Amino acid sequence: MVLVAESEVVCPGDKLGRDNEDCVSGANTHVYKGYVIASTLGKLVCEQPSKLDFGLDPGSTTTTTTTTMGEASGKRLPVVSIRAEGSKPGQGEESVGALSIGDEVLCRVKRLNPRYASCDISCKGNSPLIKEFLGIIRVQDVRATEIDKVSILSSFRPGDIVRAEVISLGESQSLLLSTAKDHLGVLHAKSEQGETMVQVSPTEMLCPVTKAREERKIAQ
Amino acid sequence: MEGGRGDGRGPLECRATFLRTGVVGGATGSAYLEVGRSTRMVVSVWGPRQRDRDGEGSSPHEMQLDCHVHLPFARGEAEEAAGSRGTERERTLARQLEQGILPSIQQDRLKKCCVEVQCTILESNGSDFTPAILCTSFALASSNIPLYDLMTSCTLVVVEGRILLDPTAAELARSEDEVSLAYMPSRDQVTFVQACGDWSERSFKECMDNCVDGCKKMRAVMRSFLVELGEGGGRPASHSLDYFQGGGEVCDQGPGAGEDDAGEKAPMSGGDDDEPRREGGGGAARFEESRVSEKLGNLVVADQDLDAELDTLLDV
Amino acid sequence: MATTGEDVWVAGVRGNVRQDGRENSEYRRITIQNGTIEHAQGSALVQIGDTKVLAAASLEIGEPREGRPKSGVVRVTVDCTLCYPVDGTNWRSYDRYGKDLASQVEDLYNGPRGSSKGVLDEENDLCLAEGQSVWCFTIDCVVLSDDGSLLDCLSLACRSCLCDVGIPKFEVLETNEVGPSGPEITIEEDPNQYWQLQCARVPVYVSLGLVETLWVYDLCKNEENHCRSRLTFGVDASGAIKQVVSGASGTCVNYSRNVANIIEAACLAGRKLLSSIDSVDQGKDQHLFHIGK
Repeated sequence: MVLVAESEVVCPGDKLGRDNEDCVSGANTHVYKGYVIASTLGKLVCEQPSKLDFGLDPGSTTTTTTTTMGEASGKRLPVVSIRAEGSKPGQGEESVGALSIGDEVLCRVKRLNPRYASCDISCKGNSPLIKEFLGIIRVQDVRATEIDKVSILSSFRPGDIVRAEVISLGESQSLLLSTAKDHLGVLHAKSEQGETMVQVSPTEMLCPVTKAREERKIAQ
Repeated sequence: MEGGRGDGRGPLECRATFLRTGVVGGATGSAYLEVGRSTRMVVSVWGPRQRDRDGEGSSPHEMQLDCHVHLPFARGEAEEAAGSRGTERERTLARQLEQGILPSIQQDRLKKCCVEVQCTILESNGSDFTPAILCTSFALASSNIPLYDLMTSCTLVVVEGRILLDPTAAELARSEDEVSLAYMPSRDQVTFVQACGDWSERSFKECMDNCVDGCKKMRAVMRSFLVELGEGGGRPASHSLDYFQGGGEVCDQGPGAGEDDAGEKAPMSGGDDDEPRREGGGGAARFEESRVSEKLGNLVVADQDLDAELDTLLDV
Repeated sequence: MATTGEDVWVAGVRGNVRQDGRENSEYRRITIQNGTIEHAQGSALVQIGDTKVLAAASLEIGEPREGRPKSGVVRVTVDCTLCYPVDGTNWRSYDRYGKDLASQVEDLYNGPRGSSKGVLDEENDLCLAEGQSVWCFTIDCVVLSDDGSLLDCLSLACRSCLCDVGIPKFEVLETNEVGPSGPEITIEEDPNQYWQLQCARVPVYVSLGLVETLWVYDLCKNEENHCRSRLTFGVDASGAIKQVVSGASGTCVNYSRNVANIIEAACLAGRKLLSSIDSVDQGKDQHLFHIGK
């Protein structure tokens, strides 16, 4: 039984329930000494995972109320999370602008170097960060195949908007980013004349005005 | 001095507190705190943003908490500001604030980030440290930075053998012993202790116990305020709290006085989620009724009403 | 399985073995040398393991502090720029660090704000003319090397060099005209006519590192980097607590379980340490003695 009713406001440090007995820790909560504890100020959201998630047969009887959970099956505990004020449902998983490994980010390329491209990370997923972070895309992280034959100049240019993934927090100030997956890479680029380019092949973009082709690592 | 403390409080009572969040536009979180109408401060929280290049001996992945304290009206103390870091009092308080607050922030969720805390003390009557910790904790809670718990703090002095919680500056100046501490109630952890005086092992433990009790009560009060803020849908709410009991039983350091005073104060009923107890009597009841509204002007009017009320009471 | 340096250290503490082979409650070798600086009234070179501090005390007559008309004045300065690599502008941060350390050591001598006298005044009469002239001590400390427990070493150095101080005898001349700095005072020049300052009640700092429910005395620099929770207690020879200072950011002491034990441990350390130091017979000449607990 979750200790706090749904939609009630909780403070950081409030106990929400026993971990793995009453509920499971979700967003903006943490576990301490067997209890699920709130991490931020906001309203409690209690979500019931659907039957399909756990592969149970549809014939089994399960209560579907959102606040209580029978102890019988033990696996379908409600997931409690905190929704901060002002954030919409579904968004606000991590309403704080901190980056961790595996996050997809949007960044703008600032400078090039034969060994890496230096970028300003401005968005995490689709939500903007409070302040920009610095990131680096090393030449061996640009793509997944033939990484020793990659040239930075034929992958990025300054001013490109790139979707990348954080692979490491890095040693110095910058985070390490990678565009090795197919869906990562340049989203938007301008040609040397300043015109927005269009993609014509998996590795090339075309300027519509001058018809010049430039190579990029493009997001598919 | 026998009896009251000059403002009518009992030895373990803390002063009335006024809190408001959302006072600094553009900041990630902010709070304004008033204690007893003579301690005022504003704390704003910025970030998280990318860490600076500092990293002296600490791992570059760690979260950094940057605290700055400003005492803009205290220059008359004739100390030269040493560069941009301010006077010694500002620096000491910034260091203490950082030590006290840092353990309440979930650092592993904020790797490579820096959270900046700007604290401006407009007026201070009593300990600087305690209201700074409370105000910063409020600002952090309202800024959605992941925390382990609200940080509470309490200061205790011993004057003429009596233990007094939440001292004013005058009481501090006469203190024979002084303890300030920062405490996280849900984890039962003390994160900062500063003490000066003369204690035996047992009497120091008793002082700390009283201080920790005061902190626990303070958390209940802070929580009730934050819940009201949360229910208000994010509008900056204001709330005034009367004097509340700071601790359980009175523990007197005077010789053989321990047991006698226990009967004086009625023990607090219930656990942590009590409403702050309202003092009986004419003056305090009037203050409770004149709820502070959004405009600060009304607060000043409330004070004048109270003074007039007290005058009539004393004449009788 | 321990993977980081911190894990290794915590595992060691649980097993009562530290990286240099000491037990949790063992101090490093403490060496105190008095009289190292000829022209100073009192001086001491104190070593705790590899942490070395040189302290020198000088004496003068000055005005008492406000609110304490009969108490002596103690000022401490700490210079720690010798032991840290200074490049570019970070000498300022070491300057500040030195000032912070100095004010913490001074707090040991000043005591609480409301008391009318400082620590030294309990056993010594430092007043020459009430409200006008008192003995003022200035203790200059230089940190020669820092290998942890710096506050402990500084406070011990200050105490030791004060123990070395001889205060000249004085005579107050009764005159009808009082000069701008009070009645005239003559000081005996004869170096054999002096009285030794009594420092038995002066406290020293004892730093404890906290790991779960255990505590560790006398951390070296490496251990300080691993140990996030530190508390420093100012304790005197009778085991009374005079000061408590939080050692580091990230200090977390579990209150109900640990605090009573930690307080007891600090008082015990203070008593034992100071009783060992004071029990050695001190003369005015240079001498050395070692303590290893």
